[in-house]
Amino acid sequence: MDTKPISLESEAGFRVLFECATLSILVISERGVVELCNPCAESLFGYGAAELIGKPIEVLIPENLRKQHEGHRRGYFGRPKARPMGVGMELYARKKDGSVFPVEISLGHYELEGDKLAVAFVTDITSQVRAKQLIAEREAWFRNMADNSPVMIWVSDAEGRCTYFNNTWLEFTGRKLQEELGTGWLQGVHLSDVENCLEVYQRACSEREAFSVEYRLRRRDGHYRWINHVGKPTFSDQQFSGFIGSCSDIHDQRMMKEELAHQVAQRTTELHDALGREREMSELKSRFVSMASHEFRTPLSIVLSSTTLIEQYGAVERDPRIEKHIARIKNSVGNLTGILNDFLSLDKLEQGKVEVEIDIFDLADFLKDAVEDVQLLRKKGQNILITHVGPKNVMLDQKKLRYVLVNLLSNSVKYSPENALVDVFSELKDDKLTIEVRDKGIGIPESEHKHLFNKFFRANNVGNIQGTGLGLTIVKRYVELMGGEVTFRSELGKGTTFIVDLPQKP
Amino acid sequence: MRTALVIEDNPEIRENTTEILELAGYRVIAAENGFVGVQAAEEQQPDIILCDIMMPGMNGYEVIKKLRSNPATSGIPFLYVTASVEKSEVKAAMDMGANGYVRKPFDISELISAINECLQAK
Repeated sequence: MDTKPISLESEAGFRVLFECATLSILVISERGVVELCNPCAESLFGYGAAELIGKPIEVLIPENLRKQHEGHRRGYFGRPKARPMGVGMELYARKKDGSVFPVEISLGHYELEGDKLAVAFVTDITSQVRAKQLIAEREAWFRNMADNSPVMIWVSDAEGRCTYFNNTWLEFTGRKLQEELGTGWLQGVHLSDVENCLEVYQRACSEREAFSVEYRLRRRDGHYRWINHVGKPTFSDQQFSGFIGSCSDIHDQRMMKEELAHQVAQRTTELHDALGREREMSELKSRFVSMASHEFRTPLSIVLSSTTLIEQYGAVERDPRIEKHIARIKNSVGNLTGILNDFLSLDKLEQGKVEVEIDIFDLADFLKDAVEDVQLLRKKGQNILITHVGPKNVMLDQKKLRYVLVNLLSNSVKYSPENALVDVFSELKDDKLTIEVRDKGIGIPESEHKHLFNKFFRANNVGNIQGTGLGLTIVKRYVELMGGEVTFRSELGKGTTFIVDLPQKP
Repeated sequence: MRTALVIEDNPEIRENTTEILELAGYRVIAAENGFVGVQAAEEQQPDIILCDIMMPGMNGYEVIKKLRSNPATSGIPFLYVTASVEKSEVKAAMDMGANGYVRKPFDISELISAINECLQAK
């Protein structure tokens, strides 16, 4: 088949190109006059073809650049060739309405019947320029923000090399950006911290994970400061592109924390020592109490047995006063033994070594025995009355309750005058046993009520009545060990009632 | 006449105990330590033994161990006389086969009734 090559070398071909191009095309003569302009150029510059043709090309150039352009134009016609116009320069054009806009222009040339003609291809680049500007503004904004941030900011590439440090960082280290870039910044890290720092950083790089590390960084004044360094991976088009991170000076916090930890450690040691001393003292006290109790018993034993022997040997025709004194010695030995026993009991209570041993027993018999125990202590005319209401069998630690009762009764006898009556009233009802010991003795001053169960406490009205101030302390502890409660009512000069409440299974 | 063996290191307590028991009608053998006491028990077969716990040389626990392991003395009633009020010590003594105990300081009546209980229990 015969094919005819398609050629533009016809008026019609060029016209289509010229008329339909979306590029503005202007043909200029050597005199600088517009010879031709296409529709795109007309609409771009706002001129009709008739208005523009025959006008100097400079009407399309901002006024302040026209003179300059004439020179360039002459230069071009001197040595015409196809090239972009004004390489490296920003070019501007002017519309009919006087507005100026950025353009890109390529030049071409041809001759027609001896006339030199130049062809200018003009593109409006307003939108590209605006976009570029926007980007530049954005970047400036970001950079400004980063540079003036109160925290130090850095950026690294995918290989972990640092590509940016903000002003805050540079001000801190007092070094130049060039010195810090890449791995330069590591020179400021304290030698003892470099290894750890690198390890964390390299791991983060290979894992592409956020990280944080603390290290000492040299400040411009040469001092090393503790820095908290955090980094987050960045991705560009889903490709790991490095890290962006910040650093803050945590030196003061860290120092404070270390100081605090140090202080806590010190205090703990002190406390430990104090506790140790306390324990030692307590052990020493326990050993002393146990030793004293034991060692006192041997001489007491001799005193008591010798007294007994004196009593036996001189049994016939004896001065009645001897009897009185023998009784006194025996009594005193008994008192002393009681005190030793109290010391030991209290020490055991304090060591938590006392256990409750529950028995089932008859309360009425028990009360009778307890009263029997204090019979010898009674003053002239004193009497102890027992009243019990309710069932008689109770479940309690008999030995401890015995101590409680004997103590309360002997107090009542001790602190009551001759001929005074002491009442023991007990009631077992449902799930509670109540025992009351009522006397008409000297009473307890109200201001001292709150101290009454304290160790070694004795009310200020006891006068020369003997006692250690341990009995009620032990009473309270024993009652509490059995799950009960001891309380009292007392009026100075009128008497005292102690109430012991003990739980019982109904 | 019944015989009582008193093993006690403190001379005054030993002598007083002896006298008290003699007044109560016992023949008394006094031993100043555990070794002498064990030997006296073996040789003289007393009706009852009173023994201190804390003694130098051989203490009361060792004494009863010795006596209980020997068939000749294992049946003799044994009473501890102790200055200790530690429950654990008393319990240990009772677990080792003592028949009773008396705490120092003791009254004549306490001692005699403890001895009587011991002898009756036999």
